Order: sequence, then structure tokens, then C-alpha cells
Amino acid sequence: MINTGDPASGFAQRVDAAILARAQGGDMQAFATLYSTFGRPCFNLALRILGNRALAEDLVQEVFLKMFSSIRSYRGDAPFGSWLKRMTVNATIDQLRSQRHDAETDSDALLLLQPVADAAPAAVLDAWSLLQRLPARARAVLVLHEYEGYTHAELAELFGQSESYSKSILARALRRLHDLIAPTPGPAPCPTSN
Amino acid sequence: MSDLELNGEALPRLPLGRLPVIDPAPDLWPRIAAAQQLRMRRAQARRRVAFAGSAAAAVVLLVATGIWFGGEHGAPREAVDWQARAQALELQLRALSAGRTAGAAALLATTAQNELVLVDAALQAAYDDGGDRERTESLWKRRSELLGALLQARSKNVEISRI
Repeated sequence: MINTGDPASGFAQRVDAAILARAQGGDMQAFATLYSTFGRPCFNLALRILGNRALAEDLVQEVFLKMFSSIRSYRGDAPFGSWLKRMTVNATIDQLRSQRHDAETDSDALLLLQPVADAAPAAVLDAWSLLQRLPARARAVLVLHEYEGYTHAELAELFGQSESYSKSILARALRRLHDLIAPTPGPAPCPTSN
Repeated sequence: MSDLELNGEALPRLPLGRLPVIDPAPDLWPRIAAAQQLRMRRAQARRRVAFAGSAAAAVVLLVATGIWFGGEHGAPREAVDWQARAQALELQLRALSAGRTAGAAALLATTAQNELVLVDAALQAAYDDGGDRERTESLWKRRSELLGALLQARSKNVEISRI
């Protein structure tokens, strides 16, 4: 799994119990505080999976409105950020399911990807532009597994599929990305004779 | 099958770097807040409608019940809290000056006070016996009537003394 950075800046951020209590009482200022804490990680997760800024913003709105209406049911069994992250992931998966281009999830669609012309195999790759070259569901599996630490068992549950399904999607996505960034063999050097 | 294997073929790990962290549009929170406030207002309106509906139903039920009992058992019972009334009259009486009464007013006051003593004793006995509601209610009613008479007598005395 890839280290996605400082845990204190994402869903792992702690929330003051007083803020939570106020939010559970319907306090808009407390909701604003929760948004300022988790709005960005929620948006970035949605954006990475959906690959579209407008869709990601709509999804953040949907998730926060849902969170506001269901926050009274939050009992504190898990950290609040984990609870919200789970809500965000579920919403993105639902969004993917409702998208028309679900047909792209057919693993054959991976073969339609275009190669990255300016890939630099030795360097750290521009992960974002690579992810954009994957179909939505393959991108979701890759982001959740490689960046968010989801196991195949969890992915299988999220997608309502078997574990081998998510393993297959992930392996195909990785292999395809690997093919994209592999150096293409250049023309054989011509021997020179003096 | 390991995570990076497909059909027995091992896949090399990709040197994928960190993904960029992008800020959402600045107007996203105002949009969410506006949507939330709209939802809250709608919920409040729904609650008000539901409350008004319940209240209207309760009034209809009360009226219907009153009509039903009125039709079946004659006029509805007079719902007077005689105990509270007696206590209120007693307070009014204490507020008046305890001056002497004269003539018919004095006779009325004496009669009422004597009976009050008897009523108070009967009330005490009623409560000692378990406080039968009908019995205590009639005694409180009588006490109220006596206090009312006493108050009237005292009031007259005050008027006379002022004249």
C-alpha cells in the first residue's frame, strides 16, 4: 500500500467530543467545523475514484447531508473519520453503479487504454494522470486497495462481488499501467564502421 | 493468489507516487449549508403541520367525546377544582384587614367560621379514612362556599368602615 501522507491531515483527524455533541444537536456551526476538517479528504477520495471534479463535489454534498441527518446514530464505536470515510466510499461505489458507463468495468475495456507518451519509468510516476487512464471501477479498486488500504475481502463486500473479482480487476489494472509505463524498445543501434 | 498475481503471473509493483491533494471549490460549503438549512426548514414545516394535525385531531376527539358523554349521561360534570378555589379564597380573606364586623355581616361571619371548623374536621377525617374523592370534593366545595361568604362579609365590613 502506498503511504498517502500525514494521517493527521485526512480522515484520521480527531474530532472534539463537544463538536460532535453539538453537531448531533443540529448546530450548523459544528457542521461547518466538521466540513472544514473532513471536507477535503472526502472530496479527494471521491475525486480519485470518480475522476471528475463536478461529480466529486456533488458526492461530497450528498455525503455531508447524509452525515448531518444520520449523525445522531453515530455512537463513537469507531473514529468519526473512519465512519465518514466508510460513508464516502459507499456513496462513490453507489455512484459508480449508477453510472451508465458501467460497461467499462468489463475487464476488456482496459485494453482500450492509450499509452502514456511521456512516461518516465524510473521516476515516481504521475499517479494522478495514470489513474485517469483507467476505467472507473478499476480506478476505484486500485485507489481503495493501494492508497486507502482496503483488503480484497472488504472490496468484495463493497462491490457485492467475490474476492477474486477485485483481485482480478486490480491485477489487470496494475498490469495495464505497467505496460503503459514500460519503456518502449527503441530502434536497434546501427553499427558503425570506420 | 497474491494481490499482485494474475493467472500465476507475478506483477511488478508500480512506482506510483502520492496523489495530489486538491481543495474542493470554495463555494462547496455554502452550497451544502444552504441545502442543509433548506432541509431543516422543510423538516420544521413538516413537524408544524403534523403538530397542527394532531392538535386538530385531539380537539375533534375531545369534542366528540364530550358530545358522546353528554348524549349518554346528560350534562358533563362540572370540572371545578374546589380545593384550589378554597385555597385562593383563603388567601383573599387573609389579605383583607381582620377588622370587626357588625350587624348581619357579623352574624354571617360567625356562622361561616363555625361551620368552617366543622368542615375542616370532616376533611381531616375524610383524608384519615383514605381520602374518598367524592367525599373530599364535596367538603372542599362546601369550604369554598363558606370562605366565599366570609369574604363577602368581610368585604362589606371594609366598605362600611371606609364609609
